Amino acid sequence: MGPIDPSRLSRWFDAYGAALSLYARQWLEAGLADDIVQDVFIRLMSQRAEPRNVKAWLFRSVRNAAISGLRSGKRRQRHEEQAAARRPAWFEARAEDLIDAATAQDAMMSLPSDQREVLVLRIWATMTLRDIAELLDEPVSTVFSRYQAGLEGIRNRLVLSCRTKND
Amino acid sequence: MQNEERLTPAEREVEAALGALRAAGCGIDRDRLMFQAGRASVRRPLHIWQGTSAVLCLALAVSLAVHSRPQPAGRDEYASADGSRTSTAEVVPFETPAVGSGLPIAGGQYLRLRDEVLARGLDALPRPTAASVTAHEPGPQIERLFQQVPRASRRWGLFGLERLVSTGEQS
Repeated sequence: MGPIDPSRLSRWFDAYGAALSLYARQWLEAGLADDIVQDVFIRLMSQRAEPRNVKAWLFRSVRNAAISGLRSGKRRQRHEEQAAARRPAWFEARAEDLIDAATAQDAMMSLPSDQREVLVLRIWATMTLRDIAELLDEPVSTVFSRYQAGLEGIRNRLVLSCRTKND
Repeated sequence: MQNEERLTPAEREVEAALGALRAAGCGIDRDRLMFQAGRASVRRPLHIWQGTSAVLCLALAVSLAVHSRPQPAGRDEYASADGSRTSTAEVVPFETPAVGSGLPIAGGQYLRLRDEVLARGLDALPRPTAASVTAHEPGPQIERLFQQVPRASRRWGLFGLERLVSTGEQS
């Protein structure tokens, strides 16, 4: 494989940029998440050859960088301060949505991080369970269990939310 | 996928509802990203060239340093067919004489001497010095034999020499 054609970056950014940013926000606040996504795209272009699976490479790199960033005490402190100040939207609010964007975000945030991660990768990054298993270095059955538990958790949360509103 | 077929209708419903949500756009400046990414892709070949040049310069410097060092006198060891070392000989480094150091004619005098030889013949050549004469071995054997030929027979030249060799007489 030869060097990466810069014109392809635009396509990858359009295809995966938003999902990568959403993925990074599982660990970091929006500003830091975007910084990391940007750094990963730049790193991709400085690779000697195009990775075999660019999508998997991007998500793996963002995951590693985000977790590494979260471990950094300085960033964690900043993250907590900014998270306390404001809560960035994970989803665009649109009239045709079946679920309210803010409610969905609340439901997602209530999930355990391992279930939430699988949901983001499966639904918004449109990765297969096999690809997710490879990315997380877990068996497919484990990934599916987390996915199912995450969906069930969201459903319970939404049902609870509806009951609260009706009451 | 087979695993996903095991989802309940309720879970599928939630999956579809979540899937309809669009992830919020990231706050990355697209133009800036493209510029930085393009710069990063150009910087890599530059690093390759810089690295290659540095390695070549280093190799050249090492090579010059090794060759400029004087070679110590070494010893050659010879081994016989049975593998035992039989003799050694000291190897003296060869010294190249300086140009013109031992030559009777130096530099630009050659052309002048050549012209004189062309004009006057071999008499124009300088007489060999005593040192240069004694430094040389005596003449070839045939000249020494020729000296033994009687003076009277010398006029016969090679014929007299041939006779001397065949008969062994010295008259």
